Amino acid sequence: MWIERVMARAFGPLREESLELGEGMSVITGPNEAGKTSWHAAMRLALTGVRRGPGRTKEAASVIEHHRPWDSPDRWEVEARLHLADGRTIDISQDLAGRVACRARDVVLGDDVSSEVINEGTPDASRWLGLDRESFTAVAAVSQAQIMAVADSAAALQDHMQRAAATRGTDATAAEAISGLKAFRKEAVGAVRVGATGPMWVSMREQEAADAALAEARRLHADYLDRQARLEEAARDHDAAERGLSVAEAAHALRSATDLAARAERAAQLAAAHPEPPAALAVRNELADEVAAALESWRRRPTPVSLSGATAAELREQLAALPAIPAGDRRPDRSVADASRTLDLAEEALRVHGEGSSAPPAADTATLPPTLPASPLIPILGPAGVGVAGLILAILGQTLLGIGLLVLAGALAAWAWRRATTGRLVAASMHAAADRDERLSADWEARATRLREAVRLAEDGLRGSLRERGADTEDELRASVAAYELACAKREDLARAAAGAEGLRRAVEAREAAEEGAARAEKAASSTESALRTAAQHIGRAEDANPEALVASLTAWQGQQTEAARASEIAIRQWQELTGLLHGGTLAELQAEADQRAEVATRLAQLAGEDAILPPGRDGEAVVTAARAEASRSKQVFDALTGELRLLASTLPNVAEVEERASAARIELLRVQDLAAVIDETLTLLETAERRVHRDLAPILTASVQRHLPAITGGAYIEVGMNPRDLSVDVKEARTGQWRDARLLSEGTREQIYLLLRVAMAEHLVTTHDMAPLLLDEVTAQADSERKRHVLDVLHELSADRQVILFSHDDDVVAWAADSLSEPRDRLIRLGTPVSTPLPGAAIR
Amino acid sequence: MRLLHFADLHLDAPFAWASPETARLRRRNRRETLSRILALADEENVNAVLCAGDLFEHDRFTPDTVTFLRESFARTDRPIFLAPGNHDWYSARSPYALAEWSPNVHVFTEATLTPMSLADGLTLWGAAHRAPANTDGFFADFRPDRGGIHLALAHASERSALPFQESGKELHAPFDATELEAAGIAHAFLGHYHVARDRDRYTYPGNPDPLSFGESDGRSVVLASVADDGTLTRERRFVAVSPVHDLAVTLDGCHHVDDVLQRVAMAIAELSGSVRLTLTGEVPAELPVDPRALGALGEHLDGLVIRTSALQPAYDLEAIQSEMTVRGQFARDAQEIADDDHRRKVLITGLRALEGRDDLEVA
Repeated sequence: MWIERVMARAFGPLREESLELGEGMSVITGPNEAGKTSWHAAMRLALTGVRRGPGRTKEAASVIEHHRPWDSPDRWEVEARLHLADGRTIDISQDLAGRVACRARDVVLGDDVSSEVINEGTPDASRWLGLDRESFTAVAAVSQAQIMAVADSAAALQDHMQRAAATRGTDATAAEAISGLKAFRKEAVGAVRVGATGPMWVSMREQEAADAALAEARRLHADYLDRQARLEEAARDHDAAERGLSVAEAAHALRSATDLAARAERAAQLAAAHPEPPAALAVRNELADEVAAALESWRRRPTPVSLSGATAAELREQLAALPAIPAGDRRPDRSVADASRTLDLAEEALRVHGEGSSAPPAADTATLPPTLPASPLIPILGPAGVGVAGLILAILGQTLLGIGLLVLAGALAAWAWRRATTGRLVAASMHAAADRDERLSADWEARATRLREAVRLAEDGLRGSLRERGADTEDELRASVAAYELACAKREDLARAAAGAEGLRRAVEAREAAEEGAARAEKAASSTESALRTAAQHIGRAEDANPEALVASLTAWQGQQTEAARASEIAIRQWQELTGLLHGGTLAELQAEADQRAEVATRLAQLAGEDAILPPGRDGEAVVTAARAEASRSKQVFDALTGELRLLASTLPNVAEVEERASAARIELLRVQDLAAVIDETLTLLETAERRVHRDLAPILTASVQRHLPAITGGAYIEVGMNPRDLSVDVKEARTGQWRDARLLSEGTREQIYLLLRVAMAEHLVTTHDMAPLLLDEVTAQADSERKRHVLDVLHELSADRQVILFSHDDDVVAWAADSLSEPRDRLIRLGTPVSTPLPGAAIR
Repeated sequence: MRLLHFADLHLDAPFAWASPETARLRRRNRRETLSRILALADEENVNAVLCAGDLFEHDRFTPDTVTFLRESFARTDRPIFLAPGNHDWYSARSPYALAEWSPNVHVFTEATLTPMSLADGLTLWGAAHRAPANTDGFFADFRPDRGGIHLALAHASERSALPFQESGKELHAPFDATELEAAGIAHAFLGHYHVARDRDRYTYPGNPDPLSFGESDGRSVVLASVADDGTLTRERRFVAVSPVHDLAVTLDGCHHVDDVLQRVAMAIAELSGSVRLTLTGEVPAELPVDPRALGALGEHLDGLVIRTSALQPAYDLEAIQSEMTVRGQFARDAQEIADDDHRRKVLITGLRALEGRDDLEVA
């Protein structure tokens, strides 16, 4: 695209003026106030127009403020003729005041092509370049201020590159956008960590709190329902307890009324039986006691004793008649008996030995002794008879004598056996015996002697014993013994008689005691009978009857007395019962109370229903007490639950409202989460786009700059590099071969590089096949003459491909233009001189 | 026999879309709606009032609501029949069981149809939901044990009508319309479906007071007259206290905030109740449209909800995407985002960020 002509119908100080531009490079010069700035603005606005309606940018508003026609604000018009790369020639007219008569027209065809480039209500020729009115300015127009900014700030060069790369220079850089987004995220989303204060963390916590509040509200609501159900149950329990109490009270009242009625009836019976109080019983009835004592004494009297046998006196006389106990032996002393027996034995032995002869009997060897029977029975019968006699004596008490006889019998038996034996031997040995007769005779004699001596000694012994026992020994010894034994027998008899005195003495004592007891019994019986009679006399009964009649009379009297006492006691008890029943009141009062109670009970029973019956044996008062306690307990439960429920109801959260708060919290959290997701994705896309665009842009810009860098820097820098990350520029110094950061280069060099980059960027950002014209305003102001020339040479070179329109008041520029530019492709336009030509306005309008 | 039939009042229901104040107001409005219903019953001198369930919300009702209901029903001697629904199901803990209702109130408590005589030869059969879900249909295999005309009152779902209801509606106590005829029920007064529906043998009155935006028309209460032969005539009466409006306003042509304010103000000036305003159209990219600022225009309303997600900032995306810039690359890459709304938000956010703007949150 190139601008052939700009026509300022009414624009700032310009009125019906025009500029004819070259397709190559046009230098527009003039002194201050010549209108360079107005033409610069008019040129831009002729191409892009301004948006229709409100909502202009600050820059657009500034244009309106500065370039509205001074003398006719209502007419503000500018026009231009353009040539597009597709060969069309376009006349575009902008009604900047009314923004109505704005149009673009194909000069050849005469068609209105406004619709191709309409932008916010008005035609915008930059659209043919793929730009818009804002980006066209940013891409195609380079102002003195921008050049000065690059000169003044080393960072401005890179900033511009980034801005252009991001938004064609119209808005923020990508870095700024990313930074702004991150700052916004920090503010609108914030961190997610404990202690954070950003919206995300806060809304998460708020949602948790709201959910917890909702759970609690639902729990309380359920609890409220539970408690309400429990209250309902408690109310039913309380009603049942109250009903139970009514039943118990009615039952108790019925029973009390029944009891009171019975009491009144009993009282009436007692009152009828005892109109007056009964006489009091005597504390003690002495007559009854006397009778009772007399009867008791009579019943306990001793039984009379009937004695038989000798009296005590007679017994005493018998006792007095008994002999004394004799002195001396009452039975023969043993020593005497033994001595007598010894003598007997000795004498017997002697008698047996020879009947007392001094020579041995010669005939003994041939015949049997004549004193002995020759019968074989003699040796048996002889000793047997002696033994029997001994036994008899022994049995009769003549012990010693008996024993003696027994000994004798033994001896006899021995002798008889020996004799018989001897006889048999003699018969057998007649001849041998003659030899021994002599020896035997001598022996016989010797033995007889010894036997006699033994008799004598036995006699002496017996005599001595007798003497010792006080017996007389003057008589023959055997007679002395007999006398002694007789005396003993007598004394024994006496002793026996004397021995019965002790028993008789005890019989006397017993008889005396018995006689004394009998006397006492007799006396007692007499006394009790007397008491009976006295009692009978005292009670006015006949006293002269026999005791049994008296006892019967007294007993009858006693029975009468007991019956009378019992009757009196009953009367007194009944009176006491009556007094108790009346309880200080009258019978009428008691009956009235009973009637009243009955009425009340009937009423209560009617209210309570048919259940008002106390089971038998149940204590009515206890039943009522228990029922009252149950009613009170159930009432307390009911009251407590009622209170709790009221309290709960008063503090019960509104579940719907809590749900709404929870919902709002969820929505807020979702909003923040969604915002975070949007920002995060936006950041990701922006960072990705930035990296990609920078990566693509860097080699393009590098190549574009590289073409002109040696020329524009006078060969000082021969190579250029660009960092894709931040679009920072490095240049290689020809002299040293070192790479240098473009931001550290001189101001002039930075301006030159900036211009090259702007041109390169303009090429890059134009998205159609056209070329954007470059509108440069005093871009060489800060350069020295040499650098100016280099820049201008580069611009001129660039104008081979695109239109370059340079506004400058610099004489050096004018001089260079005069020398370097050649019409018709190039133009040098001097403002303030008659360079403008009349316009064929009618043709356009 | 004249009957007033309503259902689905949903007392104490939450309004998640509303501000706390608006939600509170709407709940008050629903109570007032019930008062209007009872007043209408008096005006029309109906013989009985029938509520086919979801009178309140079991999990949310307040003690005060129960008191309100009890006292409201006690102000009239007119018989009131209540058939609990799936939101106010009957249980031992339900206000239906625990509140001391006036003698004129009869609550159907069984999960099977039980009779109440309305007049000689005219029986009303009612049933209750006894759980919030899984309630079997009431009409299958049901046969009245007496003669005369039979009406029914229940919270039940006629299967063929489900597609005509709002999305998300579920079947509770489902039945087929043919079951009514088989059961000999002359007419069933039903609840559960919020979209009004009148059929020969059944009536859904719809929720009498709006619950949310975008509800269909016709939701009301029904005055029904039952002739001696069982034929039924119906008349709908609208008792909503606070209407709900769902509007779309285009901001095409608005160049500045005043344009937007004026256009929104004009759209809602004549309205009352609650309004949901969906802003559409294309606005200059740099024009800030702040819902909070616009909300102040609805002070005369019960509530004003403004949605801006349908607004299109006037970015020339085609031109932007053709740019050889970071912005152009970003716009091209953003097109790869599958979700439309997310893509829209990312695009606008990124473009605004590249413009150096600080209004980076996109509704």
